[in-house]
Amino acid sequence: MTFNADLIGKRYEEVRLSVTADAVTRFAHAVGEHNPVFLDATAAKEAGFPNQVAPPAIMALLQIVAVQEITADPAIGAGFDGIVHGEQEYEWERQVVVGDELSTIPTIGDIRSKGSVAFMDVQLDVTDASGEMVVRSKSTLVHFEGGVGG
Amino acid sequence: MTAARAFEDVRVGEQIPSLSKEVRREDVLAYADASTDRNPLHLDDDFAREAGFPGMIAHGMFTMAHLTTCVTDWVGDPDALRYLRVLFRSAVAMGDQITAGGKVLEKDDETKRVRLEVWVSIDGDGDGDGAKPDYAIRRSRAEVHLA
Repeated sequence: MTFNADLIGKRYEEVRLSVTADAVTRFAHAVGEHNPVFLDATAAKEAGFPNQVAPPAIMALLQIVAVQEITADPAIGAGFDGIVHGEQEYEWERQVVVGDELSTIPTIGDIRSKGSVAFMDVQLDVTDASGEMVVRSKSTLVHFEGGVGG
Repeated sequence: MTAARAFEDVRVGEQIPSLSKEVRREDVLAYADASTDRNPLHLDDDFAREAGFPGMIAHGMFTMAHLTTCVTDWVGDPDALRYLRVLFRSAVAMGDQITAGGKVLEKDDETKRVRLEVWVSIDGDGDGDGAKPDYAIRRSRAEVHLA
């Protein structure tokens, strides 16, 4: 199979994320962060941040919703369970902090295939409440014919 | 505060301190909850086996997060991290020891950006079979902006 190339450039429903201290703390513990700026608002403020800093991988919270939206689209041609995350790219203007109100419109970038392997780029340009760019993300989703584990 | 590493103290070719951890089932399950990524490949051994893996595997983003910890530990200031591109390769299984590392490729004196090659190796399950390390993330890039 391949992803449907007619979908290049298609935009999906906006995804929003209110970044809470609880979500950031749970995420930071799960990934094993030990720098106190990721764990504690006071330490982060002493280090010059406006609030507790989210680990860079917190973007996963937006990515998962975007990918679920996109793979729920019957036009895509592959379900969520059949897809793996092949590549990930970020350009940060700044790191995310607790209190951020983030939003992004998931957009399909390039679609291509190599042999029996299909690739789709999902672009997320993430802005904050004042409309300033925070981070640009590109996730490359991969679908293998005949199962993900090969 | 944790002072960021100074641009002039970085040498092209230097390796940043590596960071290792054992991937524990409870951490991956906690990550599935914290990230809301509940793909059964990351929760269910039987489902993962049917997909061709030896058992449930860690999320790529879980492994990537270990790499960003390694880079931000080295640089001091998380906001210095400005670019990352990771290529996910081998799947990480429960009990695997993973090691994140990096090497300085170049420094741009004008932009004060430092470009690194970064990776996460899988050092095996400690069974001592002497197999070569595999890579969960390899041929990947990070950039930090230093003062």
